[in-house]
Amino acid sequence: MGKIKRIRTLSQTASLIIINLGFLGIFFKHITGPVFNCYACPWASISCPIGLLQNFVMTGQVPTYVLGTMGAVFVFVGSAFCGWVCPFGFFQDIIDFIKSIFKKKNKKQKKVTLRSKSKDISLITRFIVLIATLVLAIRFVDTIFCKLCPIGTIEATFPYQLTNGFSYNIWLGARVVILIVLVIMFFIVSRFWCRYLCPIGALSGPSNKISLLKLFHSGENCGNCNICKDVCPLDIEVTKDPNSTRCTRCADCVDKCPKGHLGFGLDIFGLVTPLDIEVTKDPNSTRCTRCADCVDKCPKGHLGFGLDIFGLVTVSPFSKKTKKTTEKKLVTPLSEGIPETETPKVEGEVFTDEETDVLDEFKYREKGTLVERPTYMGFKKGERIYLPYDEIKKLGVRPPKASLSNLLKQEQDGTLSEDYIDQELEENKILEKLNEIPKSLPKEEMDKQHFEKFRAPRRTELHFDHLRYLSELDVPIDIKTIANNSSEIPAVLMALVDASNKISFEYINTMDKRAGWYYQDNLPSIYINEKYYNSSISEDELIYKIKIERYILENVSLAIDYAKCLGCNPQSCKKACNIFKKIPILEEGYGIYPLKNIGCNLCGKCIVECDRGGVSFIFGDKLVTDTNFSIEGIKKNHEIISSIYPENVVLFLEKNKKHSNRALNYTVALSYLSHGKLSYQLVDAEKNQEAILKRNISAIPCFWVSSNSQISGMISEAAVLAFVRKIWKWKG
Amino acid sequence: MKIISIIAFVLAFVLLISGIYGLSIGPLVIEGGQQAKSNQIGSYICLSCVGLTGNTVSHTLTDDTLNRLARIDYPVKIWVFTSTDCPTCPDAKAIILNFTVENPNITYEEIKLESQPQFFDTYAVSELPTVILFNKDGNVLMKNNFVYKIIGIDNFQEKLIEAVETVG
Repeated sequence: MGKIKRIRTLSQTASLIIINLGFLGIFFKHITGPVFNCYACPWASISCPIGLLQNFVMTGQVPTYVLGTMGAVFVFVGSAFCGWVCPFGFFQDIIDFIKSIFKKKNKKQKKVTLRSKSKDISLITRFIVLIATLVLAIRFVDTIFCKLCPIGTIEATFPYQLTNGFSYNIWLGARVVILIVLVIMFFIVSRFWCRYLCPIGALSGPSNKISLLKLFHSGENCGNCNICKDVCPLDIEVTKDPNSTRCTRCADCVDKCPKGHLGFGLDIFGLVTPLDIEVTKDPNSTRCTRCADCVDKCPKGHLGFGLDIFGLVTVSPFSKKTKKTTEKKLVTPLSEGIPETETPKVEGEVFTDEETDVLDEFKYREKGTLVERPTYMGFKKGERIYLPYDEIKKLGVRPPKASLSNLLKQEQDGTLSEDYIDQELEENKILEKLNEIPKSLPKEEMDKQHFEKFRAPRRTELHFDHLRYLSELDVPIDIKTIANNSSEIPAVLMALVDASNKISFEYINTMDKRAGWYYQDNLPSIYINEKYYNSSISEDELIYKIKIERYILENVSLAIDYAKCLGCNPQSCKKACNIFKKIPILEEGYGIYPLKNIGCNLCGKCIVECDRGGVSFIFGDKLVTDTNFSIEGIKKNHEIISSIYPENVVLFLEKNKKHSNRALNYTVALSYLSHGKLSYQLVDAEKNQEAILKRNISAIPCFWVSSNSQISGMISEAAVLAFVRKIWKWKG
Repeated sequence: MKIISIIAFVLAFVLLISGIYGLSIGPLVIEGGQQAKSNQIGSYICLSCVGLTGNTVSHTLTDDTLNRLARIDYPVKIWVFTSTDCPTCPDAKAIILNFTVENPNITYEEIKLESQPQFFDTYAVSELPTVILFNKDGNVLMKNNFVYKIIGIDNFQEKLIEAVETVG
């Protein structure tokens, strides 16, 4: 609860007591105010304007006194009484408060959003209620509105029934039903009465446009964060229409605006505006009140007061001494704790030394030895026979690289490699099977048709090192395969999946609705951690990809800037991802969650779904904040990005650097928006100097695709988009 | 927009002053202006106007009431507070009249807001209709150190006969 809201609640409580001072015997019922307070309440000390209006209309008079009282208030403060005094408004605020508690408890993010798609009918409906009230009063010469009034039910009927015993008549039933319906509506739509029904609001609403008190919005540099709209109980687009006819002047938006761009000021026929001084241009403005708020807020300490004695300017005593970075509050899972995951040790010990393993292989790969290895001929689509893990462990063998005829030749020559330990056992079987083949077949055909049969039991045995690696894997890897039928799934992949508990596998048929999201030009397409797998389907390549993913998951952390979550009603992060449901949303500070601990696989959906830039990823273990981070430009071009062709990107980054983190976030967003077609790999630049020198990289961070197409230095959104356009045109 | 603001200012204060000083527009002119009238409307709550009590009540007394009424042998004085624009006050008055017809020990007096407003303050009456009772010595009937009041028209007969019995 902000400062202004606290004052407002006090004001509402105080005025509720003041206008109900009857318990002290104080009555000033000749006074009326533009507030909704039933005069029939035994303690009510002022009278109700709507009741008086009806009464004077019934006697055939123009209600000059009531209209005059209301008008005198409205021309000064507009509808401020609705937000700060009115007891019925207070009642609705209390219901909103209860609703917010309920929401926090159940973690529901439902909010009925009445966006301004259709025309704003709220003023019209309020006028209909007002006119209906007056017409009914004239027609029936009776106060029909008072008999149905909901505040009357609360303030008069219930006390009367309690003190004088229960009695029933048709009006009582009707008004109780109306109150119940309204309370239900208050729970669905906040300030429903003020918005659509209040007859006083029909008169006070238009007065916002002409009153002395007005809401001002300095439109420059407004980031369109829409916090004001989310906070507003009446869903007004404050930046577009600050003096809306619906506004109750509750000042919640002023309270919550993070940049202080909103404020109330007096508009005495255009003479006085609020103190919206451009301090940098005119520091000694005639309107300045020397409040020193600007000095307080300036992050760099560039403002300060000083004495100017004939040019001898003294130094400001208010210069900034402490850096703001020291005030950053770090909320780690250690202190808050996410359910269902173990809380890790903080301070750098989270990350293992596994990175050297991957990077050694990276260097190894640079030399070209691994790349030149032939892919397995035997891995034809559709075969899913493989040995169980225990048997493979005993054998410790890997499948043959050469064709069968070559192997046989090698065996005859005695030059068969040592990998085939159990060759003797298999030899007889192979010979038996060879005899089954008709001799009329040519040699090549024979290889094609019968190779599979011979190799079947051994085909998907993984290398012992790989098996060990997979069995020790401790990060979640998510593999998805999109194929026309399940028999098309590569057998190596199935062997990989079975070798580890941490790999979750999912087969998606092309006819499935979900398959539309994925790239389907080369079936079967494999997605590892929601990134398209663009290499050959071989054991080594797949293991290398898994190592890359593991390196990413172990070194990247999720960072949440809770200051940006303030007043976020849609909470699209929680809708997008189940992991976010476990993460507590706090009011201030930063949360850092290593991806490994929260079981995230860095699909990047959250970063795209968050409209406020509160979610980002950081490479390294320290909190490096980036206040101006935004991926709006990338989001706007999502159509182009979604139609690119698959591409691999190598990101050369430094740990704990702002621009490296920014490059990482751009790439993550691009990867998600391209439906995973842009897959990436992280390389720590500090530990891989050789690789950098080899690739002619001039600056870090570097977004490397080939030596001709790389973005190095400070990677901007525009540069990334230019790259996307480039690869979009390559083949498209 | 500025012109509209000025017009609104002028109009609002003209209306307010005319309301306070009785420059009222309409067929019925009230002395002292609408402010005084609003004081009257606000101070004494017409219970049926705000839908707290029923509009239609039968005036005939039930057998039970008649039996209980016949046993009353001590003088009881009833005061009923009414107003000219109160819709249910005539009903209350008619029932009290029936009481007096059945038993001559019971007498009643009508206190009108327009003619005798001082009694309203004396007995702290703020709702219409309200009934209070006196015994033969002229002492008002009390209950828990408060004036015993019958407020509203709901179950009026039953409440009144009970009050009359407690006077004795």
